[in-house]
Amino acid sequence: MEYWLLLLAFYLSVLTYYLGALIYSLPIPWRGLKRWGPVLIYDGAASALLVFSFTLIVLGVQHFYTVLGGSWDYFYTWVEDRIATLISYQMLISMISSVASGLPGFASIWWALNPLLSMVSYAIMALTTTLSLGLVVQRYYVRLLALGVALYAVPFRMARSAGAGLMAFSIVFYLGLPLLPVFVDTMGQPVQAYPGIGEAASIGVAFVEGLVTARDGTPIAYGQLRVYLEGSPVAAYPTDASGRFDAGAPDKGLPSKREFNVMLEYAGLELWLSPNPVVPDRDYEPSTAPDANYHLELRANDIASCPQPLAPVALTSPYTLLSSNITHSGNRVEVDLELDVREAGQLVISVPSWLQASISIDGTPASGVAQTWSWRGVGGTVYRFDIGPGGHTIRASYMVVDEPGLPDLETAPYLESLTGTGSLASIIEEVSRLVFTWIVLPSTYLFILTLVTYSLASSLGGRGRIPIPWVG
Amino acid sequence: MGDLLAFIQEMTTRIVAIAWALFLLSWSVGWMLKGVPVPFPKLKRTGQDLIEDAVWAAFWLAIGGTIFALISYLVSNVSLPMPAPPTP
Repeated sequence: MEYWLLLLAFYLSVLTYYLGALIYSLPIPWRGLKRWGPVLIYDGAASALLVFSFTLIVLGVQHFYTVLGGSWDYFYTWVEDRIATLISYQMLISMISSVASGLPGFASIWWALNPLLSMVSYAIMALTTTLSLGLVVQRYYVRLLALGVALYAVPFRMARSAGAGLMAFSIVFYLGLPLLPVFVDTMGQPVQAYPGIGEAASIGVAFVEGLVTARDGTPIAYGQLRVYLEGSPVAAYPTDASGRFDAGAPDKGLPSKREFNVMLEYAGLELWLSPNPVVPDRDYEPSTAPDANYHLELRANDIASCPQPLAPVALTSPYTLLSSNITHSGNRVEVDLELDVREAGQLVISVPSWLQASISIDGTPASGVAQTWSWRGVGGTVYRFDIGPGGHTIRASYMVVDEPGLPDLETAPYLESLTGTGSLASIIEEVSRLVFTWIVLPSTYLFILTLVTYSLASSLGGRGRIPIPWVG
Repeated sequence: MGDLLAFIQEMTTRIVAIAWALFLLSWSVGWMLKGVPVPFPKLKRTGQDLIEDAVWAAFWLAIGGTIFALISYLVSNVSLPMPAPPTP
């Protein structure tokens, strides 16, 4: 094909040359028309020179390509890596969007997700276009160059601009496009690609609210929940004064496609919550909360009752709770429990520092082994009593003697560990940075290449004015 | 594709023939105007111009093949040879 185009260009240059000679020999004394003669003779010779220099030009371009240090392979790898990363971002945002779309408050986060999704789509489109451009230039630049020469040789400069432009385009882009990664990496900020994002779709995310209770249904207030996925901590949420926790939209969440375990850290105790493991399909229930689609009930089976915040009554051995009765009177709280303990173990009663407690087991005041604890900025005493199998009655009386303290609880959103990018705001920031680096900078570079192409085309005669006889 | 090349080649041949004919015509007309027995210097000057143009045209026509051969020769000294120039 290239050979044919060059042959065509050469034939056209010969034709142009003889057309010039013909116009020269016209017996018409019209200066304006006669001017075409030398112009066409010159054009014919110049086009022929280009045709015969074609191999030289190609060799020169190859030489400069080597000298400049560009690499098409690296260019393709670079672009494909970025497209893959952007696709994973797109998957993540789509997933969050689809999960959150069922929420009543979805409109409030859609403002952030929709433009984000568009930006990522545009970035993918821009990089795909660049990739396609690279493929065309690398594979067809010789053919484009030959076509440019052929157009350049068309008589009367009819396609001279197009030919010069095509030649300049093929040369400049063949040399310049492989250097795009170097330009972007030098001018832009480093963008971190998070490998975990790709797994997001397989693990899934669900926006959940829930309640943590003791065996008798009393809320576990001000506890620290830790969520483990395949043994690794993936999230942490606190419970409030009524034992509720919030893993809702837009940036918290819990796994939706894999089972996980929840541990309760409470007044110096650590215990697994039931169900253990949590199976999302089985244990999630529909929720009417504005920022969650699911409700999850968790129970601390080892805690028989929690009559006051941070004052759990727990057992280390299996038991059955027969009855539980809590009475409040002024600043006093009393809890009466009837238990059927199946194995010998320990009764553990934790008393925070702002409470005073008196404990009796089976009607007998008990003192047990006291041990002080300090946990997340609050402290207290934990009493341990050996307890044998069989039925037991436990009575604990608490009196509030000081202002209650609040533990310093933490929130570690599940989405943060899933994506590695932190909150939704972090994702927006990351995507913005990514769009700047992967859209704005490549576009700038392509613009620069276009300007260079234009200049080179002008140098090759692309802007040459067509001498019109009657204008002079 | 071959038809296009053949067409251009044929057209080039015709143009060369026409150009030679026009050269003869211009040269004749030029001499005729130059020798016309009327005292109009502008007319004689036009005749002179036609003769000059005709001679230049004949020159470029005559060395056309040589020019392309020369370009081919010069470039082939610094590069690989490209298709041989067809004779019009």
